[in-house]
Amino acid sequence: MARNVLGELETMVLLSVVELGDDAYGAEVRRDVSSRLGRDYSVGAIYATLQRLEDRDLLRSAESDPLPIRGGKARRYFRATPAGKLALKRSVDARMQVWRRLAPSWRQ
Amino acid sequence: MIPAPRYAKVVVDFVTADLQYRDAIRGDLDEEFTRLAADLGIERARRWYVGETIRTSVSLLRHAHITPATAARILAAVFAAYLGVLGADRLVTFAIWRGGVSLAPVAGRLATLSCLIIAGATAGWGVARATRRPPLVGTIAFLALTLGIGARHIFLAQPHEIWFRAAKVVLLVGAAAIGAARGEFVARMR
Repeated sequence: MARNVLGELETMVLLSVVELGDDAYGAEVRRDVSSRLGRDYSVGAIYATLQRLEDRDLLRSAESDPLPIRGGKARRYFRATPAGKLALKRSVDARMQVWRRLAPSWRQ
Repeated sequence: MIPAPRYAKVVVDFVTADLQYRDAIRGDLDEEFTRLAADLGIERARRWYVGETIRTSVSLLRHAHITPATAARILAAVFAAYLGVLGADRLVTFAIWRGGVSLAPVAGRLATLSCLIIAGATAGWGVARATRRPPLVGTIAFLALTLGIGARHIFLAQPHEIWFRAAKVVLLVGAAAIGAARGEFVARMR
């Protein structure tokens, strides 16, 4: 059961991958997540999260052609799988439920 | 293209060597470095690259999958290497004393440092070979070995002055790094 629960960073990375669409590669995801959460995440932290999500079949990845700006190295583009989108929806719904349960006055 | 700091690149290459995303990680670092060099200048970009190398290595080490069997192998390798270095250090001291050789302080210190270099290189090589892959595991073992022995030499080795103890640690770490790189290289060639 715990395997189905997404952590905060996992949720944000998955959300970012879905939103970035065809531009979802590591550096872009890192910039997006860091600006959303107001914290400078390391390249390693983002890739460790991407690896976990791919290991759980929530993401799929493919390499681009080598690019000169990257010293001839390829970009790895990520795409959310249907299971990933479902997990993301459940994670957001769970947070929203908690949010709705709070007193309306507190929310304001 | 402006080259990133070479020593930091060596660390990144070593830490990511066996990862599925190694090219993506290395490429992202290069891409961000190039972007920062154009926007903020090469010096700030170089500082960012070095800092990011450390942060990324720590993140990858924290998330490395280490099985109990691998952990046991690391501990055994580090312990054996630790005893080896310690034993070699003591052996030279004992040989000098037993042989009745009256060395000048400088010669005695040179003998100790030479012994430490040989022992450190052998220990580093042994740890790299014993732990084999992935390099992340080797890195953990190497850090445990050098930091452990380093701490012992800095805080416990008497009656040498602090600069001499520090020199011993620097030489040991350097020798162990060269030995580990050699052991890793040999393992990769097979």
